[in-house]
Amino acid sequence: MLCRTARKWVYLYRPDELPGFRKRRLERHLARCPKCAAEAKAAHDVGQTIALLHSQTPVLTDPEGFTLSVMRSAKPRELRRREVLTQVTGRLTGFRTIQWASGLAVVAVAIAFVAQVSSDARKVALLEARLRQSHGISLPQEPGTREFLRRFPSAGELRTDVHKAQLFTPWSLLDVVDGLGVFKANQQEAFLRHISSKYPQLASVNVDDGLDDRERAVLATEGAALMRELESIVRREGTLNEK
Amino acid sequence: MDPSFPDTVIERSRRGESEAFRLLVERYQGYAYALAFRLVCDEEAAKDVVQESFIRVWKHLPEYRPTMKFTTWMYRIVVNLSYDRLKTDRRRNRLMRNEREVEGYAEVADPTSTEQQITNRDLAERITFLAAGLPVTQRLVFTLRDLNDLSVQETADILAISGESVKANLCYARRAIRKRLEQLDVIREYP
Repeated sequence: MLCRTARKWVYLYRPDELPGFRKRRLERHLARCPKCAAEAKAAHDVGQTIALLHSQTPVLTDPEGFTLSVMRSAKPRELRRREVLTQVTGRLTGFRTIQWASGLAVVAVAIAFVAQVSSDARKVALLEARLRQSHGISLPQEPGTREFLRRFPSAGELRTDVHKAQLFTPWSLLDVVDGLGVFKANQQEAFLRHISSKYPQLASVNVDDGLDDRERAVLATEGAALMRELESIVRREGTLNEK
Repeated sequence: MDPSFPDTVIERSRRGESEAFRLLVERYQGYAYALAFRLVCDEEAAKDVVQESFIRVWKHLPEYRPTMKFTTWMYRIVVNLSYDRLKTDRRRNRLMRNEREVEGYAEVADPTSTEQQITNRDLAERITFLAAGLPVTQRLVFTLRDLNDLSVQETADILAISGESVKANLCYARRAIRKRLEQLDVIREYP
């Protein structure tokens, strides 16, 4: 056994601290190592000094008064829960909290605004690139149309859908018309019926397998006419965002 | 610790019965106080710690699971609060010491102290003397094991450390105390 280990173990002198087999090893070592034996004696003296302290137990003066004071502090649980609730709601409505909440709201609105503006600009740019690349279609370059797209970016999505002809499935039409936000719920279906009757060929356009000449022609005529009609409605009515 | 204390009292306290909780406080306040006092070495601070501990016990009793001994669970709360108290007191003492050095402040013993208070103060001085300079874990282990006479396993459970760690900390703490006693000629210095 190493002296280093023995000089640690001598401090584990109380009954449940050193298992029997270790104790026996330590005793054998101490029997032939005077330095470790001296350390063991010192540890024993420390133990006796500490034992003197252990025998002195600090006593609580006035235990009855102490119990009373604890019981006064420990209120019934139900009552305490209510108090905690009041504290929390009180804090929430505190002036400082209102200040913080207002500040955070302003920051959130600012971030949302910046995100929306940049997202709209990106949408229009993407739309233009996609149309040019996939279908060879350029957006009208008239200042009015570009201004319209800038102000009503959701109509940009509409235009994409018009050119991709997905607009003309009943579901996507409904989505787009709904997205414009200019029709009341009971007007939407009437408007869809109106589109179906006024632009009958649009529903046959499918861009998933690419556009053929006929489909391009339909988009250029009926598609463009529908776009103009929708744009004029949006111009006249505005969108929910505008309102 | 009294092992015959009925579990039903703890169970009733868990359900929120104030009367049962009062019995619990009466039964354990002495033990909790002895531990807190040995840790913070100050009568008033120990009372504060114990009071706060019982409030926490009351508040968190519904979360207590009997897989752990109630006393172990309660001691853990007392130890944690005492530890917090020690930390804040240490910080405050540092400030106070600076102020006293500036103002030449001298502490005077309260002449109205009772005999028990004087005994407590004497004990506090001895413990402070022995445990001064011990790192926190060693101090906690030393107090729980050597002064409060808890088993190695119980000490480990309260401090949420292993039994081996308790023993290692005990070795270091007792060795440091030995050095301190030797320096002050309380025990003989061995070669």
